[in-house]
Amino acid sequence: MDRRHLTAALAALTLLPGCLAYNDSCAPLVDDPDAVVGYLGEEVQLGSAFTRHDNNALGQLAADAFLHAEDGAAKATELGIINGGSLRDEGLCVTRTSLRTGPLTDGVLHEVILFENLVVTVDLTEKQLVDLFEHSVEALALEGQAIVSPSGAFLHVSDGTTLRVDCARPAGQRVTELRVRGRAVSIPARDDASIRYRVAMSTFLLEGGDGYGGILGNAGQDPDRNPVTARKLGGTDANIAAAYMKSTYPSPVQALKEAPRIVFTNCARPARPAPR
Amino acid sequence: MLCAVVFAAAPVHAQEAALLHASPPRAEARQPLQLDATLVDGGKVLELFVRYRGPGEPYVQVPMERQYGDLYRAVIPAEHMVPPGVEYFVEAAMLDGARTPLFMSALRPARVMVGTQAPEPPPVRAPPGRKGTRDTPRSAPDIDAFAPPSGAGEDDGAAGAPPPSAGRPDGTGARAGTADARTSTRADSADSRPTASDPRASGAPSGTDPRASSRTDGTDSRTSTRTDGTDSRASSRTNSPASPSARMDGSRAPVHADASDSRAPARAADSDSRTPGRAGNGDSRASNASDDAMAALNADLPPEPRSDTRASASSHSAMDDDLALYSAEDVLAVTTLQEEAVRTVPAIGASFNRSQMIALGARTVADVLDVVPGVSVSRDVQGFHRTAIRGLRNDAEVLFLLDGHRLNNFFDGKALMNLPVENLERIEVIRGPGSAVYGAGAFQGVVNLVTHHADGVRGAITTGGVPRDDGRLALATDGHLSAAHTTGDLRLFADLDLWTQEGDSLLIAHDALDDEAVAQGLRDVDQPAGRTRDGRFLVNAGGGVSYGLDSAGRLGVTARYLSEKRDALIGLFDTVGNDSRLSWDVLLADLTWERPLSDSGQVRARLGFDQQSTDRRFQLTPLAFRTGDGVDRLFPDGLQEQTQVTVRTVTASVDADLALAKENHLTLGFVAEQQSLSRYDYTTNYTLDGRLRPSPAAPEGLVDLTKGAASRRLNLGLSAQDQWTVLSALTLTFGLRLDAIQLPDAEASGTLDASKMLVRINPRVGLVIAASDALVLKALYGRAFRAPTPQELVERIPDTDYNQGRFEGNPLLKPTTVDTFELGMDLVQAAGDTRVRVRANAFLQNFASPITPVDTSGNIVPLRNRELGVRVYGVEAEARLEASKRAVAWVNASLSRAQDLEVPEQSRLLTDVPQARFNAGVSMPLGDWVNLDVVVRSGAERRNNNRSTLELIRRYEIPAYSLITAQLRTEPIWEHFEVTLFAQNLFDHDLRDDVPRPDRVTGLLPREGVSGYLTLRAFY
Repeated sequence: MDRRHLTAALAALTLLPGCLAYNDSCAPLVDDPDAVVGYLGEEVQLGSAFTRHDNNALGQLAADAFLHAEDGAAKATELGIINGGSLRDEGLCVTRTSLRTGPLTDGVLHEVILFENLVVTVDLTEKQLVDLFEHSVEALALEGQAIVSPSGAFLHVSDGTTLRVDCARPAGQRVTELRVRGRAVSIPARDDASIRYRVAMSTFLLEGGDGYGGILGNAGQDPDRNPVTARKLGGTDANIAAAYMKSTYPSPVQALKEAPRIVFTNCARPARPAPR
Repeated sequence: MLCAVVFAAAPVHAQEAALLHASPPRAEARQPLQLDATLVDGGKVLELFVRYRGPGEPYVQVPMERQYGDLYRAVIPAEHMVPPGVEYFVEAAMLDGARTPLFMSALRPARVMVGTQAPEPPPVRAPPGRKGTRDTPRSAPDIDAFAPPSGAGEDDGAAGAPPPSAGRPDGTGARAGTADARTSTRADSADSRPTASDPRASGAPSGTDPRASSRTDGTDSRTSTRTDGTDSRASSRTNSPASPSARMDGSRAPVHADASDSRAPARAADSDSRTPGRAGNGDSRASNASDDAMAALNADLPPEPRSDTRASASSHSAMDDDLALYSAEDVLAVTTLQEEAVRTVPAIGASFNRSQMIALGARTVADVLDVVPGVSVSRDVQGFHRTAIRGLRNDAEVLFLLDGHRLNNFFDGKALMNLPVENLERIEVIRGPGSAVYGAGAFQGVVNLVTHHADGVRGAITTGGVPRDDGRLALATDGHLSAAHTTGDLRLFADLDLWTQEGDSLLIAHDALDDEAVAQGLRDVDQPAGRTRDGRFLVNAGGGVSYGLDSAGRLGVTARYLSEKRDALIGLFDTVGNDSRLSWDVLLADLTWERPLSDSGQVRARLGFDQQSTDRRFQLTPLAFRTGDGVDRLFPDGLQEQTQVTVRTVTASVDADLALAKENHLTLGFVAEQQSLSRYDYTTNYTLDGRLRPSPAAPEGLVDLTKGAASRRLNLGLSAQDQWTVLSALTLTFGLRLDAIQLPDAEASGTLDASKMLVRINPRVGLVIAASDALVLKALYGRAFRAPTPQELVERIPDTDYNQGRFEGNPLLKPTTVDTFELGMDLVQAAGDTRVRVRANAFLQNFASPITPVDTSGNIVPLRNRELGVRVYGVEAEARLEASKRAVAWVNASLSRAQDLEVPEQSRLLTDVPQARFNAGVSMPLGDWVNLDVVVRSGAERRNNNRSTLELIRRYEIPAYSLITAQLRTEPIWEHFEVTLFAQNLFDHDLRDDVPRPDRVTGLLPREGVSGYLTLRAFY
């Protein structure tokens, strides 16, 4: 009797480890992870200092994709933004410090832009727009300081928008120049609610993530601001970015490169590895 | 009768000592019990001892003094003669130094019921232990002769015993009229083994054998079956003559052969054999509250003259008695409010009594819970002990009770449960919803801590500690003192636990503010972020008085105060904050009244009050931390926040146990409970934009939680549970609980001012089948629910850079429900002296709309109902092997799989709790005085859940662990002392704990270095 029980217990024990199950964290997020969505014209750094404290090619790609998410709408979108915290280096099962020059696969792109936020286009007032960028840059480190835990709130901007930032100035007054679609935005912002800019961003920001709640308020629910959630491709940021990449940077010749859209003055800059 | 045969045979084996002694079946409480015995052929006997014990207590020894001639006498002191009874055996110290049991044995002691109940007097009975030996009257068949079992083997060889009738002047006649056949077969068996008499018959002298008399209705059939049984037994024994001699107590095997032979018919005759604890208990509850061994003992009470449920219940199987007595983890009261044997209770449960807790080397409740199959205890970064049951962990979903009084805090559901075990009589654990008796909160499981109130004085002191890596010993000391006394109708008890520890100090390489601290020059890049701090000071003081009002029942008042002050293990938000201070004060008070009903039922009422105050001050950053430039951005003491919460509960409850019919038992209950949040203060020393405040204040925009509907809650609960024994082997339990609970009605008004009453009906069905005496099968279904806590509903702390990752309340939360299906089996087998019990169960739990915080943004963690629910299934098994009272081995294993059905297939598994647990322990004697206990706890690897992207990318793997404890423990010294030397985590195999943000505390969270403790216990 005892021996039988003992045998059963031992058998159960040997079986136990086999019964353990864990999620496969490497399971790809898309059906065809190896499909090439486009080409990178240069190495793209994914460390937080590069995604949250400097211009970043993938951030700019996403912002551009957002800008074009509602192409064909009655009122054209003027600006696309994405927060640096949306670009991740952790990956699903391997951490990637950078993406190499050359083809970019759909699987990797979805791992970098992996939160699957929806993209919403909405009208913002000038004050909101300027406050948005002030908040974006208020935590940037001054030149000479170490870049420590850069804030994920830092915003990348779409083509046609430039921003000048002076980190020597106090927080709240750091934006020295903002041009949207080539048009200068008054700094400080005019307190005129009728001046509107149509901006595309992720639901994460619109719902107040990364400290933007106080600035954006209920713009996402206000019919007067005409919020439109992207429909195509499921509306998610990564899908929209992938489609835009496919159409815009389809070959090594037409490859994605970083543009100097945000111009930093007196700010700390991440040390880029020497080009290989 | 058999003993008489043996007695007759005794002269033949003149060289073996034997003892003539009759054990009284019953004795008066608080009166010394005199035991007389006659020693026969005691040439090799140096001394005689009586070793006795109260229920669940270790044996105490008194010498038997020689009176004159061969008459010896011992007295069990009055203070040990407490209900429900004592057990004893007589041991001889032989000339050669050996100690040999002469009358009964440690494993099968004689049992004397103590109490006021007058048993049906036996027809005629000789005074106990009369010196008259051979001329004992025929009507006194209850004299046993025992020769040392060690001689049994030899005796087998020397089978030239006279025929039973020849040497027996009285035995045959005594029973001749009733059971001829039996007598003769007995005689046969006695032939071959004259020294090993049937201890069952002798243990409770046959004339008054409660079991025998309780079966009066069915005795006829039993007698005849026994005849058959004995035949086979006799023959089987003859076939293996060697085996009895190999056994220490050779009487074992026949007992069980016997038991299983006779049980079935006996059971058939007596209808209700499945509710031993309850039945036995009903009577005695009034006089002696909760005592598991009591239930076991009472199960043996002779039946009342009236043949009601109780009477028939007392005739449950002998093996049940054995189990209840020896494997004392067998009784719990938490399912039905009545003590019942775990194996037959309509729930999947476990119960740990004092001796088991001591054998585990457990110092706190968490130590005990961690070895329950299906349960895992871990600590979070704030130092809270968190109990996970069946793969899920949520503080508000495990109901902790202290003597039936809820310990969970109304505000956040946490319970100050990690109390020292010295004050506890037992710990009862139910996995699954358990019972209709409890309402909201009894969700994943119920843990009831039962304090020790038996008469006497007990004290214990433990000291020891953790050797720190700086070479110093971090001292930890705890002391316990308790006393209880009964005088007439008055019962008093008081107890005090004090606990103080410096705590271990282990290195934490990285924390959430690593970069900032280095950048600000607060430490070098190669310096660790800090060290854990684990200081703790705890007071647990309680007292109570109860008074028996004769026919008006018993009135009791109890009060208890718990106070804990401790460090945070690390701090809040994964940042080392060594100046964090957490305090928790709990006051519990109860006024109880209980009264037995004339029809063997019982009615109870309770008025309870409790107040819990928590004060948690966390240091969120290192000292001299800067949030920016400027004077008002320097924080000399670091950023700090403090949360002070006070909650109160007033409860009134009435419940009644009614025996509707012989086989139908109904428990009805009503409870009304008003909970309130009377204080909520959240203050910070920093503003929302990170500037220093001159004095701590509430941040802008903080909602005052003491206003609004969420701060008050009225719970009304109506429960009915019916246990219906359809057949003797089949018991059905139907339970229904109706709860009306007051919750804020945020949907209606948009604000939190309105409230609504939400009504939930929670059914429970249990089917318990005693397939045989050895095997019990259970099939259970239960539904339970829990309402969101006020914290889950409304607490919203404004988000700042330094308190990211905080849960955000959601007023739209709905209550969550769980449907649990369980199949269980309990198998008991005995072979020789060894008993093996195997328990196993499989379960499936479906949680609908579970309330789960899932980190989606990293800033605030929103709480919401997961619409598609969570499903958990698994198996749990345990086995316990008892070779003797001191030699025990046990093992348990559990495997569960939890899935969040709301996420895609490949991310469903919830793996932040060990899916598999394996625990094992061995207790073995090292000589006469010392025992060695070794316990192994192990858990499988844990990994991050994948419910959200953040969970997916915040990968961690907490490796599988096994933690080994060992202790040396003495048997009682001078009857009153016990010493243990205990080593925790002997091989320093780190048990790593929960890490909410592995990206912050990258090196995982260390805990549990080697530690050692010395405990001295005294009891009187």
